[in-house]
Formats: sequence, C-alpha cells, structure tokens
Amino acid sequence: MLPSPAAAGEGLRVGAVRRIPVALARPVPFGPMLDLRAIPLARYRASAWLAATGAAGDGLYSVVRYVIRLVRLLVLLTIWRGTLDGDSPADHAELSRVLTYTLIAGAFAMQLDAMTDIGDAIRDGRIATWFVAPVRVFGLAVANTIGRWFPSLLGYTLPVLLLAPLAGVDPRPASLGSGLAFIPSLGLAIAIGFALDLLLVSLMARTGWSLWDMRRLRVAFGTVLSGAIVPLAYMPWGLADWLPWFPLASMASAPLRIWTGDGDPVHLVAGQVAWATVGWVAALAAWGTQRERLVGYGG
Amino acid sequence: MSDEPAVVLRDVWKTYRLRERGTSPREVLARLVRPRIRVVEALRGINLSIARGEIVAVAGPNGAGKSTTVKLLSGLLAPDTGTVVALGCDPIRDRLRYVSRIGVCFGQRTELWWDHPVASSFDWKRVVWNLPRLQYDRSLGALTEMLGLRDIWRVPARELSLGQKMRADLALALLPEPDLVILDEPTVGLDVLAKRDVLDFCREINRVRRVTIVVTSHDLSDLEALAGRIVMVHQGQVAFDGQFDRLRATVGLQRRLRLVTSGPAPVLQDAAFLETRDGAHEYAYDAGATTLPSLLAQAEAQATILDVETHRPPIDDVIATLYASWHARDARGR
Amino acid sequence: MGEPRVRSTWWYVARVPARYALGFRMDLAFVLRSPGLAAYYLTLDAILTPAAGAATFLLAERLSGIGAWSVAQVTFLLGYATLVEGILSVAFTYNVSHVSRRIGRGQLDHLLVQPQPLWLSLVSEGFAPLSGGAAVLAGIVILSWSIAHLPVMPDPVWWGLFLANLGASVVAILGAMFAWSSLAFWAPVAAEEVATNVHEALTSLGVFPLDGLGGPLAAGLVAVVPAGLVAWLPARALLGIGGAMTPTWATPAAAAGLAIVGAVAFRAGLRQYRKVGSSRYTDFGHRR
Repeated sequence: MLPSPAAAGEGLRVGAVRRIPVALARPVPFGPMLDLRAIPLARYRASAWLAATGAAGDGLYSVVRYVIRLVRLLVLLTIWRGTLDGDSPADHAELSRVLTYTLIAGAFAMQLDAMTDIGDAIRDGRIATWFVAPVRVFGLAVANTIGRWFPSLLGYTLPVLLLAPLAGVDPRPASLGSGLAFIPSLGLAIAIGFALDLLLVSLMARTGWSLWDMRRLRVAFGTVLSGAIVPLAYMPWGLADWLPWFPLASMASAPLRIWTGDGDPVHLVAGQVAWATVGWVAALAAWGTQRERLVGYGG
Repeated sequence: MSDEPAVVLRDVWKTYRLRERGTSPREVLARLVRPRIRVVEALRGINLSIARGEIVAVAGPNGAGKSTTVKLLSGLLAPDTGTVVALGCDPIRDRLRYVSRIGVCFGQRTELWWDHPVASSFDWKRVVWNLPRLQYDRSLGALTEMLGLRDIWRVPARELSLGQKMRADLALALLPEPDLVILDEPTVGLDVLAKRDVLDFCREINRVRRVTIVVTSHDLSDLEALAGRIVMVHQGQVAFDGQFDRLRATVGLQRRLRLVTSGPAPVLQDAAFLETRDGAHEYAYDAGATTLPSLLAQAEAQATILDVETHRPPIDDVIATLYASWHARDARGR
Repeated sequence: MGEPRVRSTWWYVARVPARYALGFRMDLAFVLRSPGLAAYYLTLDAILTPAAGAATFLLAERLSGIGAWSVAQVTFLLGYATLVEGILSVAFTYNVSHVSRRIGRGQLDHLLVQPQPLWLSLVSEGFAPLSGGAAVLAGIVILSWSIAHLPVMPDPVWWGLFLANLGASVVAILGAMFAWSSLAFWAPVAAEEVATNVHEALTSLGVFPLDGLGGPLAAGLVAVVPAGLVAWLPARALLGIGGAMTPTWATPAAAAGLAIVGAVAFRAGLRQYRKVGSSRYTDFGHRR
C-alpha cells in the first residue's frame, strides 16, 4: 500500500530530529594540551588497546622484526666482546657492564628513542580526524605509541631479558636501588623522546622538510649522541665529557647508566627532569605556533 | 576491424580468503595460533561480452565485484576458473602485448610523476610505451586540444587540482591510442564542469576512433550520460545486462509527478507522496499501473491545480530501489 | 594501432640505456626546477648517509681501531658502505629497493599495466642520478681518504676486484630486500615496511667489522640479512684482513645466491598477486 502524506511526513520528522548525545554536541576542546584536570583515560586506553591488538595481529611478521632486532643486538654484543678483551678483573667488570648496557639498550630500544606516529598522521592527513576527536591530539598519538609497545615488550623485551644469560650477559641491574631508579628515569627518557618528537614535527611543518628526513636526522644523530648504541664514555675527542650534559643523553644514556650502576642516579634523574621540562615547554610552544600549519601540511 | 568482441568473460569465478582478526586479548592470541579465514566469493560465474566500439558501464553496490572485474580486464588479476579474453589476448599470459593496446585510468590513482611537470610524465610514457614520435605528436596534439592540457603542461603533478590531475591522467591513458579503455571511477571527486569535460571527451573518442570503453562509477547519472549499456553486478554475478531504459523498466515504469495546488497536498490513491518542497508536492507513480489523467482527476477533486510537471526519476533512485530490493531478497534468503 | 610485436628479452635489455637517459633528463629537470630544494636534499644525503657509521668511527677513533681493524681500515669499510648505499639511492629510489612498500600499498598495479617486463620497470624506474648522487660523492670522498692512509697501493687488478665487489654488494642487498619484501604479497599491511626493517638492519649492522661472530650468526649475516656483504666481507677481502681467509670472490658468489633467492621469492609472490591482487591502495611514495 502506498503511504499517505501524513505518514511519510512523520517518517521524515523522526529521522530529522534524532537526538545527539550531549557529550558529543559540545564543542571539541582545543585548549592547552596538558590540561590535567580531566584527562579521559578510558578514551586513551581504548586507542592504546586498538593499537596494541593491531600490532599483535601482525603475528609472524612481528616475529621477523623481532629477529632482526635480536640479530642486531647479538652483533653488538659480539663486537664489544672482541673490542674489550682485556685479561684483568677490571677489564672483565667493564666488559660485563658494557654488555649489560648494550643488552638493556637493545631490549628497551623503542622506549629509549620514543617516537609517536604523529608525523605519519600529519603526512597522510589522518591528523584531521584526530583533531575532531574529543581527546588531546598528542595524547592520542602517545596512547597509540604506548599501545604498540605492548606486544613488543611481551614478544621481544621480556624474552631478551629472560634469555640474556644464555648469551653470557647478566641482565640484572647493578643493585635494587638502580633497578628502582631506572623506572622513573625511563619514564623521563620517554617524556623527553616525545617532546623531541613534537618539536621535530613542528619543525617539519615550519620548514616543509619531509618526515623521512626528520626521521633520518633523528636516527643518524640521536642514537649515536644519546648513547643508545655506544656508551658515551667511549666517545673520543673529549666528547665523553660534555655529551652527558646534552638533552639526548637524558633519553638513553641516563637510564642505562642508572641500570648499570654507572653514575649517581639522583644527579642523572635531576638532569632528566630539567631536560624534560625544557623540552616540553619548547615543544608546547612550537606546537602552539605551528598547529594550523600541521593540520594543513598533509594537504 | 574484426567482428570478434573486444572483451569476453566466460564463467569467471574469483574467490578471496580473508584473515579475520580478534578483538579481545583471548581472540587475538587464539587467532595468532589458529587463524580464522573467511572466504569471499567476489565473482561467481560471470559471463560478459562487450563488442568493439561499445561503451559499457559496470555498476553495483560496494563489494559487488566491480573492482575485481576491472582488475581482471586490466591484466592485474587472474581468474580462479573461467576465461578472460580481451582484444583477442589472455590479459595475463599475453600481458605485454595486451597492455600496450589498452589504456587504464584509475580515478583514485594517479599515473603522473609527483614532483615532475606533467610534460615529463608524457615523455616517460612515450619512452616506456615505445611510441613512434609521429604517433606521439599526433596523439598528444589531439589530447592537448580536447582536454586542455596546455595550461597545465609545465605544472608539477603535485600542484594540480583534482580535475586537472584527472584530465592529465586520462590523456596519459589515451596517449598510446588504445583500442580498449578501462576507466575505474573516472569522475570521483570532480566538480560538475570537470565531470562534463571528461564525459564529453570519452564520448568523443568513442565516436571518432570507435574505442571500446568500460567504465565503472558509483555515480549512475554519469554512467547513463556516457554509456548506452549497463552491466549491474551483484554478489559476484551479473544481475542485469542491458540498456538503461530497460533497467528503468525492471523496477516498473516509474514516474514522478509534481503538483502545485491551491491547498495542502492532495491524497492520490495510485501515487506515493514523497515530499512538499517550495510549495510543490511530489509523488511517485507507476505509469504502467495508472494514468496521468486519472491522477490529475483525483487531485483536481481535492484542490485547484496551479502547475503540473512529470519526469522520470533520477537513475540513482532507480538503482537505489533495485539495490534495496536485492538486499531485501538476500536478507530473506538468509 | 597495429598488433604490437612480441619482443625478445635482449630487445628489452637494449632499452635500458634509453630508460636511464630518460631518468637523467627527468632528474635534471627536477634539480634545475628547484635548485634550493635539490641542494637541501643533496646536503642532507651527503651528511646522513655516512652518519650511519658514526658510532663505529667514533669507537674506532677512541680505541685506535676495532679488533684487527685499524682506524683507516674501519674508515674504508665505512666509505665502502656509504658508496653502496649511494648507488642504491641513485639507481633504485622511488621505493624500488623498498619494494615491500609498493607491494603492500597496491602500487604494483602501476607497473603491471606497463608494456614492458617487470624487471625492466624495476631496473629503470628508480634512476635518479643527480638528486640521489650525494651519498655516492660522500662515499668516494671517505674511500679516497682511507685509501690514502692505507699501507696498500691499489693496482688496476685491485680496482677491478673493488668494482666487482661493489656491484656484488648492491646486488646482494637488492636480493635480500626483494626476498624479504615478497612477504608483503601475502601480508600487505603487516609486511609493508619489512624492506625498511631489513634496510635498517643492513645499514646499522653493515657498518661494523663483524669478525668474531659465531658460525650460525655469521652465516645468517651473509645469507639471510646480508649485513656482512654491505661492506665487512668485501672490505676484509680487498684489504687482506685475516690473510687469505676471505677470497675476493666470496661477496660476488654470495650475491649471486641472494639474487636467485630474491628472484624466486618475488616470482612466487607475483603468482600470489595474480591470484589475490591488492585490496588496498595508498599513493605514498609513488613516484615521489
């Protein structure tokens, strides 16, 4: 039977005045990024969970990546064994410390060079959808990154730490205190890494340089000057003396030195706090001035 | 030109196996160990024949099998069973011979070199397609004229608008003067003017060179403007193959009636009221089941008629009705 | 248009110079159109490519060498690795070497509609001699410095062996990257960046003297992820480190094996691609 005008009109009205949830109807908050008053943790958890399951779903292909990382670690350990091959007890102690340093650097490589996918999101235009979500944009990027770390921590970091003795490396921290101090130190290292990430994407938007080049810059200099590959004490030309004062050292060298009992944890963490503060103030300022460009960057 | 068809698909089947992922931690872990595979039958025994010089539109709802059909015709995919013969070639086995005679234009993928001026992409195509200089100059001259390439010739591809990029891509696909042109969503994202240019151009090359054109689009009015024949694919099978007029007839002789009357919308027994907009009441009726004078008589009995207009419903509405009926039938089948 | 003829493989081989000439023309136009941008890329490449070996060099400098390698020999290894990387960026750019990206992103379709064998597209499409040439120059500069400080006097035979090893290193890397990238035919999303992972492993491990590795690990670094072929094995052979233990034909032989593995894996992947195609498409990196 054909509908009457009244019935058809009723149907239209029902569709037209569908109720919008109040929370979604409010304007999207674009306020300062570190507004700690009401961080909706559940939303970030949901994003982190999706990122974690997405990465875990890669299955065998994740294993390929883990194997490559493991081989790289084994090679570095072998090189150190071939390089620091003295006979004295002091030589043995130094070798053991450097091996532990290298092992922990390899096991926590992603955290010691913390990098979000905000650059990719800007490049491919996904950032626009992040801006219209009722969450902090960089918070979402951080949540995604932490989510992606979980499968790697379970599938790579944990086995590496457990199986390290098989490779003749003692994975334990120098002392209980070192192990405890490592936790806040690693957190600060991650915070500095994220601040650097935000600074670099802001620079990318400002200069128009490509994300790929930014990453290459960071990898080429960051990993060397941060002590993530070679302990800074093994740098020539006096670099060993002044590199530890630089922010990059707070990203990797500081937590690794704390784990291996090389240096005063209080001083090292204090240095990290200082660089984290400076880094975040600079990153937020850069983000604030470049946000509009960032949204437009992906075209 | 030989009489054999340009394209023949005979009982073509194509199946994909998709791995399903888990959502909960247990599912994620369980499916890492024992993956769950979903089998999707993209094409289920498609039969299709396209004559040389014909323009054929391939349409269907999302997931119907359009893209698979286009990929088979482009030589990108091989059928699981059945045969695909195009321009007398097996698109997979005779790939090199075949692709040098076809032009493929994916509306959402550009063939242009991003950081280079448009001219460089044409120079690249000339070398890679091994086009004789005389043919290149002749073809480029015609395309430049018809598609207005002159103003974008020295502009890098990344600086082109969507419409300009589409024109350049279309010209690039047609540069080797192909016998068969496959256009996958060629009007997506284009404004009305750019769309009209593209459609006009396709009609023109078909008229002048008798080029066979296979075109897909979600915009059915575009397809109707370009092609005489439409092939509707649904759930991997040809659900309709014929002229657009016949397609309209499959959902009845649908007509629209717009009435401007002195009072409220009259209630017409044999027509469905759709809406009142700007004082005009719109109805849908089946011209095979009732007549216009009878409807007007009913309306006149209830109000004074100030204006009358009838028209065929847009082809999109016809297709939407068809899709809806298919979905309803599928739902009943489940 | 008449029926195109079926051409022989040699006909296509003969087309390679014309393809390179085309690549040169396009690259020259690109460089001349935005000299500032080109200068920026060239400078960045010249700095960043050798920077991959910075840790090794700094360590060698601090410890006056690494194991049996003197500082000059370590520098030779780094220069060789930089030159290999430079050749890859000159001849196989636009993600041709990172082919898992092209496969995973559905961009192989662009190559399959070209009327030429796929190998010709892959060999010629990534040729950018000017915009990608900075790393080659950097490699040559580093190698020149190191050779000047080495206690060897290269003769023509040595240079011939050097070039053969250099070519073999490039082939070995491409073979491995194509073999690993073939995973993307089966898992386009998960394995889209597998070439990047392999490349990172090669560039990060290829700049170390790998002496002292155990048998399986050393074999893996030659045959599976051939970081040892990036510079270590050829440099050992060319500089005579470890006596006659490393023959100069070792790298070419290993490269031939990897090339075969890469080709077989890629062909198997292509057969899979013919069956399932690509259900996704993103244009990142495509001809950019």
